[in-house]
Amino acid sequence: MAAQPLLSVRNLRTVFGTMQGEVTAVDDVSFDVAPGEVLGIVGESGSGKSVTALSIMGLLPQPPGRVAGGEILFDGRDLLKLPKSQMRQMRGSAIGMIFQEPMTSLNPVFTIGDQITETIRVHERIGAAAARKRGIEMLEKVGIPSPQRRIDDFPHQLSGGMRQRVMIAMALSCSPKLLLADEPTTALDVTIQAQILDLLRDLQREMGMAIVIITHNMGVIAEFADRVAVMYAGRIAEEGPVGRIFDAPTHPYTAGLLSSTPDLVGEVPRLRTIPGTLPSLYELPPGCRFAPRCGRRVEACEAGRPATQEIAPGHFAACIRAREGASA
Amino acid sequence: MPASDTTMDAADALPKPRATPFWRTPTFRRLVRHRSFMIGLAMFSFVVALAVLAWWIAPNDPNRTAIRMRFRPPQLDRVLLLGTDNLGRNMLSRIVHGAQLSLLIGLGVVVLNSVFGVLLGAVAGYFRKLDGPMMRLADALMAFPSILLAIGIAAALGPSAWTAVIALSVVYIPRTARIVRASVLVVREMEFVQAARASGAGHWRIISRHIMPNCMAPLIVQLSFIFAYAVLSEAVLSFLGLGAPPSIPSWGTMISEGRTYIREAAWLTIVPGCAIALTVLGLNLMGDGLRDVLDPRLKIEQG
Repeated sequence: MAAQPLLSVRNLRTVFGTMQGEVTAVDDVSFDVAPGEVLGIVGESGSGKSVTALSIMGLLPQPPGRVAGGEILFDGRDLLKLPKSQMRQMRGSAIGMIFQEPMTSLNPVFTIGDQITETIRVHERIGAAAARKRGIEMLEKVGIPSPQRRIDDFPHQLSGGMRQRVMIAMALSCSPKLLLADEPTTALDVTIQAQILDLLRDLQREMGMAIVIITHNMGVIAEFADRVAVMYAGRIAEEGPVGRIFDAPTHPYTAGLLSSTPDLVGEVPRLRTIPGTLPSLYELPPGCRFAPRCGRRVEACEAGRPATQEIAPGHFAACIRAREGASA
Repeated sequence: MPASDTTMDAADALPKPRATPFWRTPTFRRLVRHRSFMIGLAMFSFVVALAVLAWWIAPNDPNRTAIRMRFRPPQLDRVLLLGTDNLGRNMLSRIVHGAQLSLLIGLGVVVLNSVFGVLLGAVAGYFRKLDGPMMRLADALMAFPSILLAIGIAAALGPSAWTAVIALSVVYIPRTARIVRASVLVVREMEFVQAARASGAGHWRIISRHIMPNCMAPLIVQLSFIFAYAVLSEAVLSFLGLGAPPSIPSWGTMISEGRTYIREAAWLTIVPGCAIALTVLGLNLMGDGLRDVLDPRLKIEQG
């Protein structure tokens, strides 16, 4: 990972102007994604995961949103400094994105073929027939049966899982190097979820792209990601290889998240929950943002922001007691 | 195999037409079954037929005077079906040629509205920074009583058919722009717009391909009503002498001229009055029907 990351987010700070003043939704977030790597970002609703993705894509609703600081280096170029037109060229060709709601992510008045070929033709000088051919290939790739016929269907003729496949086909139609998947399976049935994740993994291996997958589902991460970053209240609490995070979480929040997920092996005891709720972004605790809910809190936690420490190679945690060992 | 995939395979087995023609869509079937829409369509089609076939229906030149034939009342006769006016001009000829003018002016206003109203509404709804100034300007224009504003503009530009079209468009474009803006505000927040942005589409592509096609229903309804208002307002402008010049037969002018003789020759005002009523009522019934079928939400709001 040290070699040359594909995506390198450095000290990203994204703020939203609201009636009650400015709130910082993403506060000093840094992470790297290597080419061909799958990074999972987990966190509760409101922890800043989606805002991070939108910041990378340059799709923040502006106003009220604004990137207030940091760098987003993609292939060595700072996306935040790119002129708008070049950033638009990036979207869809170098960076693709898929969304949570497949039911509303397709334009209801055009056929799916229209929508896939549109994406291709925005980015490449290619004739209508060639674009259509590529569209059919893409639909075939994402496992849509009889794509030559399905390409002329309207979105309402497809099920949710099929629509998400179409969204993936659209996002991948120009072979992006990076795919941002914002809760791609949340709105789907569990069986379909597994299919979509399998599909994404197959395509990822075949096309060699990197994926940033955003979810609140630890199961999705365990199945899919190489590395995981756990976000809490706009900051990264812990980041590391999936195996280490699941086996030896060092941040109490990660440990709490894991212990509130049912285990498939053995007796299922009553699930543990993390007491309290995510702090309001208007009234953030002064020190560690998890401190008010943390069972391992000490006085020093409230003094200041805990420094991010490298617990093991590639495993970072922002907790002053991280080195004391896991207590999950 | 999850349920959704099996249903898809079942659907695959059936032969499927590539695209549904409009006359086979549920929308079309609902329109056909909507009684007042069909009545309105019949009335409006009748007026359109009069206008299109004017050269064939009209017994003679609508402006040819015949003093000896003055004030002939309507009678069962190919030529004198609607009688003659104070200068002996044939009323039937004048009515059908008046239909041409009314419909052309109505059409002109609708075309200008669907170009500029849509453009301005889409821009105001999409680019939030322009929204405030543009809508305040629209408010200012809408604060004038519409007919007064039209009279003012028509008087300033000098009476002609084109003036009427421009004056009425200025009056109605802010209204169309408002409707379009409201729809755009809803559609622009939908996820497929975000998805289009994420795939690198530019602003104009997003507006024209992704937003506008999803805003058509309220727009079509609005345009059908604007057509009716334009026909009515054109008659008012002509009545006041601010519409088409006297050489072009206009229903409004006919009522205005016939007013003097309303006691002796009531048909001079009743006949063009009925023509206006038929056109406007037809369009309004069609508009109501379209609204019921395309945009049921509006019906609830209006009670």
